Amino acid sequence: MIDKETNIINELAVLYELSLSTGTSLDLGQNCASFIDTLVNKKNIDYGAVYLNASIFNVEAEEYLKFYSIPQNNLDADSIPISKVPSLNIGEIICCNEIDCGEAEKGLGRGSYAAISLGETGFIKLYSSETNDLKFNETNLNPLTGVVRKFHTSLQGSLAHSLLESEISHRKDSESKLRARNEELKKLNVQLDRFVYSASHDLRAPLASILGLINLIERSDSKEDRSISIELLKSNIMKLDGFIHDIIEITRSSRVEVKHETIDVYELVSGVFNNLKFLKGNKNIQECIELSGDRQLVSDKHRLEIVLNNIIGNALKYSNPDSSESYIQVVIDNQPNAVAFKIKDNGIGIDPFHVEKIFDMFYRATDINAGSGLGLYITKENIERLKGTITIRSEIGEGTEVNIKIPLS
Amino acid sequence: MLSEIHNIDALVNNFLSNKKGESSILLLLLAEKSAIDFEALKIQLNAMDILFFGGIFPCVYGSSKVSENGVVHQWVEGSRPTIIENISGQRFSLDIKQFSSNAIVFIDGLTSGIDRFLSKFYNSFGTDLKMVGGGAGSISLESMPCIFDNTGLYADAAVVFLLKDGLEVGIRHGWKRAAGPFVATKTDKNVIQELNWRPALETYKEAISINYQTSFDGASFFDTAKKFPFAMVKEGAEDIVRDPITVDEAGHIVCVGTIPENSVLNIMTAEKKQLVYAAYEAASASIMHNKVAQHQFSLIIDCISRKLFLEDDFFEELKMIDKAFEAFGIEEDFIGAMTLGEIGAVGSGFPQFFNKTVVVGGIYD
Repeated sequence: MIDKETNIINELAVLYELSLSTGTSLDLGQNCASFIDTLVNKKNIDYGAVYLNASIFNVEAEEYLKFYSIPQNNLDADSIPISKVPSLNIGEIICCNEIDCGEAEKGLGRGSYAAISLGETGFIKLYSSETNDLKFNETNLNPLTGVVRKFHTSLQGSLAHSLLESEISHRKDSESKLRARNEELKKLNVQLDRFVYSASHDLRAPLASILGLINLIERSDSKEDRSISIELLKSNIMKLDGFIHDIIEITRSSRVEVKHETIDVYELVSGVFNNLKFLKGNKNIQECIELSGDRQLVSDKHRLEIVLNNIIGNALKYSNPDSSESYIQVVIDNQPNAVAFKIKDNGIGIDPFHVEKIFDMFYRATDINAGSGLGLYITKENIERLKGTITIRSEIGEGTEVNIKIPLS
Repeated sequence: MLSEIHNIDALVNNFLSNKKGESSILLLLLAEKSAIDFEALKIQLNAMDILFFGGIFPCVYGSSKVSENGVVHQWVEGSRPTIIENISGQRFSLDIKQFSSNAIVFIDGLTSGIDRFLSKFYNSFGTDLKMVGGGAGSISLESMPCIFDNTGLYADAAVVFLLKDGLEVGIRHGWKRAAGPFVATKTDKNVIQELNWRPALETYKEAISINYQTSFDGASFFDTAKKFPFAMVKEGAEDIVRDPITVDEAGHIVCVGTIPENSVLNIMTAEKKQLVYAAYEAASASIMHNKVAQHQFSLIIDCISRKLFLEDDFFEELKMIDKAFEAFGIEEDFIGAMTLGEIGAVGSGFPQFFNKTVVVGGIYD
């Protein structure tokens, strides 16, 4: 009688501990570990595992996957076809001496096996070795039915939590992307406003001038005056053309994909000098190109040409008119991973105040040459598309040094 | 073999006197009050290329004698010993090549996380694991470096030695349920704060007073508590005893070994003869009946608090172990240590950290 009472107390004690070990965490792994570890330890079982339906993990296979086991070294067979496991109600038990639910697992040999159903969610697999006195049967496992049902409910809770967590995380991610996109759009909007204002102003100024010059031509009787007006007319039209060309370049830079083509870098730089030889002020300026490394590299030729054209063009435009020893030196260091250009001159230099803003759209550091204020903006845009960097060091009256580094694919 | 000399050269000569093979490794059980200079011993053994491992314990047993200041040695065959540090930390590495599933393990008995360490061990080694060992440390219950191998002396650590030979393990304690069950409704590792949703100490004292008319007044907590340990329910095996050793500043009961929250506990008691007989049963269970002729030696891990409880009768316990071996014709001397917690795994199920228990490991060729 006392033994019977003791056994009932033992069973109640173990069931009490087991029932409190379920639902200890919303985390699926911790929930399984808490229940299975307590079950294996308290009932003196050698091995316990939780197999879960593959569909829970978005795996398109008709099988159960081993999600947790104690001990964990039995990992040889980590899946069992659903067809091999009898369909039972939650908490129902199958006991057997051989493994009738899948392949043998490493370390599990002859002994007593049992599977407790978790419905469509999966099942719990238990093993007691031949040397263990515990042999599974309905009598000693039936008391577990209720607590396994409770474990099943807690698993549903963990799975729902995990799904919700994943949805929240996905939503947060989308919100964060949307916020970033919104910020980007706001920035673009501001840029667009500035662009429309500056572009309309810069387009209208030469147009107003052209209109005035046409009026002058219409009213003038002097052939000489008309000829001067026509020259001015040409100059304004050229300015308009240059401006429209720059705007097309900006659009092109942002929309056209980066090309990867083999370029002779020395030829590219000398070609730029050659194209600029008729530029106003390009007289008596010493040009020097130094190359270390290979002449060939792979990059976007058109974009590099725009960059070098702008930088070398500026060096020519802003050379010191009072100096008889003006020079522009281009040093190219072509290495396998990156190419570096150093463009150095002894021109009039840039006031440090302007250096920070010099890459802004429509920013003009000087009125000496009335450009569009877009050249260095285009330069920076193209360098950024090539994933490169540009830095400028300059001193008034001493000259300017521009360093460009472009990574090579 | 027990040595109670402190001269390093003489001691090492004693060790070498019964060395078996070239690849033998030296198992050392060092008593807490031994005057041996560990550093000097380490240097000497390293200079001689002798691999060794072991622990420092309140008492050791060898050559039919319990010693508080000697050292017991035994040559064993197996893998190179591995020290695992930072047992109380969440992330210690159990990087052990699985040479065999038979292990001797000594661990700092006062560190926390022993259960997690054993669980990790079971996860790595699987269901065949057999293990004998115990908690090292001082009887003063003050933490100190107590685990060693050729690399030095460590606290909050374990040393693992995998045997080349066979191992059979017997585990018994002999304590019987006296009062309960109680639910440990609030615990923190090895500290019981609440029993049955009430202050643990109050509930514990009340249960002992009602059932045994025993009061805690006028004696230290341990003097009374050593007769009434707790035990956690486990089906198909003896309950797992937890030794209440002291009361902390907050009035909570401090035990040796973890008590998981919501564990169902009973208060235990025992007559001395039951405990003594349990030792006989543990020794008998460690005997491989078909391999008696291949028996090399037996390692007895006996809880120091059993010795404190049994007092003079403790020698009866050792005699009963001897009798168990004699009954099967085993005459070899056995060695052992009185520990702060015992470790055992019999080849099926979880390895456990016990209290007030005898674990006997029989080692066979």
